[in-house]
Amino acid sequence: MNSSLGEGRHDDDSALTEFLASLMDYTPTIPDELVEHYLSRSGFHCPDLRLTRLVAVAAQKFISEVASDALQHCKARQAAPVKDKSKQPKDKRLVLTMEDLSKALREYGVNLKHQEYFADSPSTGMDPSSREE
Amino acid sequence: MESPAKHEVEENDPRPPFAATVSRVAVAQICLTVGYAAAEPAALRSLADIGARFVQALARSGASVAAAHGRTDANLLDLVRAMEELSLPRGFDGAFDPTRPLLGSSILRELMAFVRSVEEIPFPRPIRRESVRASVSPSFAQMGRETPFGHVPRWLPCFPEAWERSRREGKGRGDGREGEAKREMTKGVRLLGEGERVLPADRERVWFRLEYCGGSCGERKTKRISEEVEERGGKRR
Repeated sequence: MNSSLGEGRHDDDSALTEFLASLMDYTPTIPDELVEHYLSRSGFHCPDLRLTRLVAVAAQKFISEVASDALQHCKARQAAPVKDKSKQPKDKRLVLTMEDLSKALREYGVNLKHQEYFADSPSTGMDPSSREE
Repeated sequence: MESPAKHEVEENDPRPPFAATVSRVAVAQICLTVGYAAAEPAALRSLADIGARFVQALARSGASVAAAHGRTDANLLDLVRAMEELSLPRGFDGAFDPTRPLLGSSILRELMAFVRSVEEIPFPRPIRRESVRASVSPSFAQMGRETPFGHVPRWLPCFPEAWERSRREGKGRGDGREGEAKREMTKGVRLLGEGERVLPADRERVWFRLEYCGGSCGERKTKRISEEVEERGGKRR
């Protein structure tokens, strides 16, 4: 029993070493410079590039998890049957909205609220297809 | 804590900070890979801000764990502990066991699976690195030098070159006139060097306004444009 546990741990260690080495060649979507900027602002000091990349990968994973949760909310909303046909949106494109984002973030303990009549850009209130970035 | 002056400057500047812009682009890329076709500007800004806050929370937590263990530099274990701390609200595999090995954490395993599964999409443009690190002078230990005094530990940054030179010369000759001249010279060089290095990351925009004032005053038109450019150039200087 003990020996098998030890072997398992050995496998874990070698996988971790391999993973950390592979981070040297991996380019995360969040650039190193940005992560380093935020790390140095928060007092985190480490000369190892692999750790910077690990932080970048962790942040990327977090953001993509939140985004895919929001995407599920968006798809569910679009798939829901609408009684009034005139209210059915014509545009079936997947757009990241504050509504979906705040629903997705609630699960992560982030309370995000959007003001009811907040105009975030001059084009707010126009045709929804024309006010995307 | 941010100083009120800095806050004021940020409020007066209508443009978002450079880091926020970069993180917005990165978050937009991630949203594209997830499957979104577009995003509301406000939603994208919020998600980018939350991503930046995530990185800062991770860094702060990691730094505090390192400091609690009496280290100035954080290592992998501190980072794993910080990541576990941040994922506590959602819970993770093996969180019930306080004696779990940190390096075999399920969070690291999830990260490995994530890296394997996700397509590698680098940032579209190279970013100029801010020379914050370069301005930090190396320590005595890094330079391989001994400290001039016994009570100065080797991990402290080196004393300025000019100071050491003047000290040496002051000792040798008694009057520090020549040393002073040299010190001024090196000061001049250093200032020049800093001037070259510290370029502001975002510079003032220059724009041209073309005004139509009838067919006969073509000359006046060009003159006005050049004047405006000069005026802006003068302001910038």
